[in-house]
Amino acid sequence: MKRKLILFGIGLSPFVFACISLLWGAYDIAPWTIAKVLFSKMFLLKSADAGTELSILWDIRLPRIILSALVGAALSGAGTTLQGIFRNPLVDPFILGLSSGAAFGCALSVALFPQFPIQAAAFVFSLIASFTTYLLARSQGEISRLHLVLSGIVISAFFSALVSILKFLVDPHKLVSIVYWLMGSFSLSDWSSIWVACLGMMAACVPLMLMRWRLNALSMGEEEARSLGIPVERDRLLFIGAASLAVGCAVSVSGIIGWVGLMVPHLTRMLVGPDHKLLMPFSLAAGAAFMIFADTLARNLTSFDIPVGIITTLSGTPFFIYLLKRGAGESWGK
Amino acid sequence: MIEVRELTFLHRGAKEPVLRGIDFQAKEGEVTAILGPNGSGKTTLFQCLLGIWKFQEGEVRLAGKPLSHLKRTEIAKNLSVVPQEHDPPFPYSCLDIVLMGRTAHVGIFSTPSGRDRDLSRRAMKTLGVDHLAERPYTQISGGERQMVLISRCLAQDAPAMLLDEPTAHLDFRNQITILKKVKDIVRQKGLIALMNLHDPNMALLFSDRVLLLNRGELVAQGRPGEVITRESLLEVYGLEVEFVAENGYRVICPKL
Repeated sequence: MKRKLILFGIGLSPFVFACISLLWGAYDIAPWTIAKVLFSKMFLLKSADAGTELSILWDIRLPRIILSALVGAALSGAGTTLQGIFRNPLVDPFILGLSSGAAFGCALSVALFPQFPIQAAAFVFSLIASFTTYLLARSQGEISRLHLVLSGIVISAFFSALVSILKFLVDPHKLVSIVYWLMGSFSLSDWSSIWVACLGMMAACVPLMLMRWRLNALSMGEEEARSLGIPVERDRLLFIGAASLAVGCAVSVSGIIGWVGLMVPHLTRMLVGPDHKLLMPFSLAAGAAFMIFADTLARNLTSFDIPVGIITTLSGTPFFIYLLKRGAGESWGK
Repeated sequence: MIEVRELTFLHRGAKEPVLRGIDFQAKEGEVTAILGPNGSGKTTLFQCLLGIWKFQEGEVRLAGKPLSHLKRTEIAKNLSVVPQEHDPPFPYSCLDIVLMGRTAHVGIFSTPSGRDRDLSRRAMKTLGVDHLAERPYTQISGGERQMVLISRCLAQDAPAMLLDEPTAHLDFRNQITILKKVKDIVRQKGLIALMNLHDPNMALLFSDRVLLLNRGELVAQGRPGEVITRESLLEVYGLEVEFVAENGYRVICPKL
């Protein structure tokens, strides 16, 4: 009973936070007006009196909510996947270098090759980064936790350095946009940026959802997964590819938002248990909820927009320290 | 039936083969024990049977089909494994662990069905561990873990089962319980069981056939009583032993 309540709560949380986020903003709009405006917009009814409210809700708040929900879900889905296939609760897209790779792809597209689509560049370099990390960690045979994390740090640093080179080379006008975007923010969201990212992230989350149960067997280690009938190389390829697509698209619209892919799967695992059949959908939902929440804070805490990446990193650091201290706790299995 | 013919395997770049001309059959309803000192190639042999290592010469047939023609899922449908060291990274429930045995039967884009759950629960019942279904696998004892893993093999529904040192890390009582259970199930269900053992006494008590490995070669095979002798143990382990017989049991005792 209690368990069902928890599951229900997590499932509902993105919608609850979305409502809070719609209500809470610099411009006060009454709940009743919100309902009326959105209802009439959705069913194409004419409502003459709500021009300002409509544009604030429809053009500013709603796109940000949808986008932050998608990015949160994508990052936490990718985190769940990476923790599963690398059987390591301490990794996420940020630590394994996927985010830095994607960031480099985006910066490259912004700075030098504007004709190359930014999402594609982010995906390609996030994929390159994840595979380099994987191969580097694998060169020692069975992947050890330490090697994996160290390889991730190395690859992450490498791509950050490449981004720095680009920052150094581009003209100051572009530099500002790259720097601000790297901090991670949804402040530039509008409907046009949602559609591309939306498609990419959904395309990534579908295989993650469909194949999620196999993460259980994959997380038992290479040899055991094989003996259970899993073609380990092929499955890892599919999972890493999908996770890279999710992270690439997320980074391309919102910059680097760290720690979500680590924190959310962890917290969700504590609440719903380690079985990926449940863990994946609920960590997608919890990721969406968390990101909407963090972005609402980013929008409203001060009179200007703080990059949401700063908020997630600030909350992620103490969380990571807590995990390290907890060490041999339950969700570590050891 | 598992048929192994003239199997030779060497690691890439190595000069000495790890396994040389291994030739045997393991039959339904029989427990075949593999004995041999550390480094004699027991685990490597298992890995060759599973297709994890590709052997250079010889042939392995599972239920008449050559291993080299079988895909991962097909191998898993023919051969299940009780692995040696076992520490999952996440605290899966025991039922989750047993359900993993259904991986080869569940589609890539699918999750286990009600039937898969039923089969898994029934397998746990057969081993007498159904009460552990909801407990985290990380919190049960070593003996219970082996029982859960053997239930997973049953859930995998393969005619043959490989057990890699199933009694390592177990106390005396649990060693006996596990091996007895394996023998019973193999008889009942007509399974093929192939297991690595360290203790020749256990092989005498619980196996129907014994393969004696030494430095990658099969030095003897046959009924336990014929293979495990003073001479063969001296040759393979370099140890002087005495046989003590009482109440119809023959027990090996090292000379001190």
